[in-house]
Amino acid sequence: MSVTIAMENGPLLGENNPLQAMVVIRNPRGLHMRPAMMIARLAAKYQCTGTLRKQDRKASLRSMTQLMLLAALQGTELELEVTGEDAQVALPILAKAIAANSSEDLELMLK
Amino acid sequence: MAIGPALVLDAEGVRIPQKRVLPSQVEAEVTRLHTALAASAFEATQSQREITQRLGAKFGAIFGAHALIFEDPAFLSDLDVLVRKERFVAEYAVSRAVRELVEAFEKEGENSFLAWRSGDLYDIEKRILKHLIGERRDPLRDVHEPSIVLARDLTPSETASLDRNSILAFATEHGGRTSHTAIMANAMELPAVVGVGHFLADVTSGDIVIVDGAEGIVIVGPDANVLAQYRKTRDARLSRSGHWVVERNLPSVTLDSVPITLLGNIEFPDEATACTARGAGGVGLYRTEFLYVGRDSDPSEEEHFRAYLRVISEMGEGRPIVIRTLDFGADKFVEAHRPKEPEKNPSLGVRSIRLCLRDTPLFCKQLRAILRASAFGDVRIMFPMISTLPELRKCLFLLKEVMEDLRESGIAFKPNLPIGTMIEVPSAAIMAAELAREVDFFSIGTNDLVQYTLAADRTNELVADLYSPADPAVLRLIKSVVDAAGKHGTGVNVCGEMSGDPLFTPLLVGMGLRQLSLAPNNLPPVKAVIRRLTVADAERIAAEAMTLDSARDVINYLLRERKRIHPEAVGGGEE
Repeated sequence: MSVTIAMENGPLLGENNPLQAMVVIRNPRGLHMRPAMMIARLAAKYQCTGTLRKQDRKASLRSMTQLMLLAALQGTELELEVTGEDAQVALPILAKAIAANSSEDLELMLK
Repeated sequence: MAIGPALVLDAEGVRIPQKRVLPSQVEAEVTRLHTALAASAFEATQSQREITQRLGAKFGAIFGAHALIFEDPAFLSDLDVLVRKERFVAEYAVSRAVRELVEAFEKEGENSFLAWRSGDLYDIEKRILKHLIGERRDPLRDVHEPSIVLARDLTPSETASLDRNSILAFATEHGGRTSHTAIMANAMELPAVVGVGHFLADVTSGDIVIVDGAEGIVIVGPDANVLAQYRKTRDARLSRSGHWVVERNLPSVTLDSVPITLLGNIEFPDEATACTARGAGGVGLYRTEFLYVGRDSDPSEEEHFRAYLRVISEMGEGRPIVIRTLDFGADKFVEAHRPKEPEKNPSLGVRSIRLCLRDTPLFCKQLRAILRASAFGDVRIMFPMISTLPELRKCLFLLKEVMEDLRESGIAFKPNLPIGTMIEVPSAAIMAAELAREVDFFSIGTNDLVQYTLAADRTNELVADLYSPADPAVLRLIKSVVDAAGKHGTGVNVCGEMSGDPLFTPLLVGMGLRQLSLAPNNLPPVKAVIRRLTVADAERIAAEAMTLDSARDVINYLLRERKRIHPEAVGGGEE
């Protein structure tokens, strides 16, 4: 899995300043209903809040509808941003989930 | 395809007036809204569970997504603004928020990889409104005679709740082929044409309608000629596969209430859907050869693992999945494993378990993947083509070693997963009592058992007439295996083609089998026979068949019995 995590702001940030990562959608069917649903559920487990950005469009990680409305097809590059207490823990996990190859892989990750 | 009287649903939706509440009533309105949202979420989660049980996890997930919308922060904050700031009544706020979402999704237009359609959003709206306004009379609940539903649109949950006993088919003006409504109809094998366009104005309830789902045709008020023609086509299709449409949701039990478990045989993970759609109790034979075919290298452990997980997630909880280890000849195998010299007699050569036991790294890779998958569902493992006791013990030894490795690496698996062996070589059938002590279950593979017992290759025309599962020698072997298994409390089923042929169903049940594994397509006709049979009847048939001295006599006898048990059935046996 190739997830590039760019912690531009240094390793100790995240609580107040956002942590960022670029994530590429690998699911051949894009970020459709099932992955969006699972990502929203996953994001709700963390304290931190997060967004996913595609150019000028922004979605809350906890909103399945906004995630779907990104209309992110396979190969789309998205900017992931998380802010909050457990951002450091959450970022790599969320990035991996968003970049999952299929809903099945994602389901496994969440088990 | 279906022909029947139309039931036209009220084309008018509920009209929600744009009303506001007094500032002092806003809090009460917010509470009312959230109560309805919570009730809707609860209901959608229940639908998810129910549909997962009935049709599989993939279909249940549609309603899981609906459930999540009731908690979606973006949707909730839209509603909050509408009720708190604009002081709209909850009903109006809901329909307005949903309409805005529909518009947002529609703007994505043909970017339709979003398996999400306005149908789902209206489903969500209807659910909330139902809790706000109270239940309206549901015309679909009062259908007493078989009808064809014609509607402007049907939501996925309305589709899922259609009663298959009274609704023959449906057609809608709106919606698309890829909508969840169409997907549900397909999973329920309900004839449907979705998105016909404007046509309801021309129909009245009671008109005769033809809905041909396969061709995407709806005919309203057909003339006598057309009607006769379609009736003929329909009856021809029905006589082949029809009765099960009515019986698909009924349990597989005999007339005297003895359950006969029907499991599906599958080759590809996708076929698990065909099993759940036909009410299979699990997968009795998951062939894994497809993982090896048509490639230049062996499949990785991960590839095995992923394929198994797909089947597990499709079958859902509580349904066993029997994974059979690699079962084919060296000749069909990837280059690396092909024998240096062609074997003179491949079907008696290095194939199946014999190949695996000679190439333990290859074998253990698959065992590891199966064990890992066992942590995620009711996975069972089965060894094919065992011909001797030492061979089976070698397999069990290797399996134990792999378990040990996994344990040391801290990888999860189910240490007590059920282990079985196929009985398809006559020597194994004869030694069944001894083999029964070593394993949890047997699966009788009649295809090979018939071939090896009669020493006849059925693809060789000159000897094909010798090949018959009805041969008395085969019947005796099966009976002795079932008896041996019974004595040791070992489970037993039949998974060859014989178990998928309804002609043999009474015979197999009469021999004591309570579990059969068959191709998904054959589940309905076999169940139809089971439901028309008593165990005493089956035992009498088996006893009589066992006295006959040729395959032909057995077949003729079974055909006569079938005419009595299930006169409307056709096909099967040697016809």
